[in-house]
Amino acid sequence: MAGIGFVWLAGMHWWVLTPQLAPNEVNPYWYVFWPTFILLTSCLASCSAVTLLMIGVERKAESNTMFIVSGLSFAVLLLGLNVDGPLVRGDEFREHLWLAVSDLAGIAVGSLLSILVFALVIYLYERSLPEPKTITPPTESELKQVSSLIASHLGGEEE
Amino acid sequence: MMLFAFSLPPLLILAIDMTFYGGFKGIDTGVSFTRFANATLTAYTLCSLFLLGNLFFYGESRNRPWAPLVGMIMATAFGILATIFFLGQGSMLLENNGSVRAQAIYNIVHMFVSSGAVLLAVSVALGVTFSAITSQKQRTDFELEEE
Repeated sequence: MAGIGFVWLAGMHWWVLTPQLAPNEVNPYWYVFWPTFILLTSCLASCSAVTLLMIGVERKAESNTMFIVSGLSFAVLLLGLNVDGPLVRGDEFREHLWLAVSDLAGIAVGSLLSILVFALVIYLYERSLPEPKTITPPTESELKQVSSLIASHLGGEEE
Repeated sequence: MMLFAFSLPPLLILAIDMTFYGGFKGIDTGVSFTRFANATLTAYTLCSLFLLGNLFFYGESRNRPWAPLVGMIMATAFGILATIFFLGQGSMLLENNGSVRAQAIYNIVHMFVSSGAVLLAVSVALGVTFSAITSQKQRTDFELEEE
C-alpha cells in the first residue's frame, strides 16, 4: 500500500496527476507538501535505521529495510532535482526543497520554544505554591501505644 | 549519531551540489530566512494555542488556578503580537503577499500543509519500521535442548 502511495505521489510529479489550480498552473501548496514529505521520510527512515542498529539487538535485517526506504526516498528526491516533470521543473523543485528545509527548521524551533514557555509557566506556578503542611512527629506515649497495638496483633497464642 | 543520520539526506544533497555545481545551487538565503522566520512564529503561536488547551486538563488536578492560564494566554498573545509586528515591518517577512492579513492567513494554511506532510512522513517511517520488526520470524529466547 505504501508503495502504491509513493508511485501515486511520483505520478503527481512526473505524470499528468500534478494538482493544478488552473490549466498549467501548479497548486503552490503541492510545492510545500511534496518536498517536505519526501525529505522528511528520507531523514526519518535513515534515523530509524541507525536507531535500530544502535539500540536494537540483532536488528540488522530491519535496519537494512529502513536504509532501503531512506535510499528510495533519497533517489526520488535526486530524480526530482534533476528530471523535469510536465509541469514541475527541477530548478523549481530544488528551490522549494531548500524552502522545505527552512520550514522544517522553523517548525522545530517554534514548537520547542512554545514547549519551553509552557514548561516555564508550569514551573513558575508550582514553585509559587506554599509548602504542604507537615504534621508533628509522634510523641513517646503515642509510639508506645502504637507498638503495643502492633504487638497485640502479631504472633498470637498457640492452641 | 542518530542526529547525524537524521540530517544526512540534506547534507548529501549539499555535498552533491557542491561537487557537481561548485556551490549551493538554488539556495536564496533571503527567501529561506523569511520562510524560517514565518514558520518559527506560526509554529510558536499555534503550538502555544494547543498547549493553552492542555492547561485546561492540567487545572483539573489543581482546583482550576488562574495563574498558569493567564501566563500561557500572555505567552500566546506575545506570539500573535510578535507575528503582527514583524509582518508589519515592510517586506521583510512578506512572501508574495500584499498585506499583513494575507501573509498571516497564508502562514496558517502553509503550516497546516507542512504539518500534514510531517505527520504523513512520520506515519510512513514509523509504520515501515514496525512492520519490518513484526514481519520477522518469531524469536525464541532459549535454544531447545537436544535430547
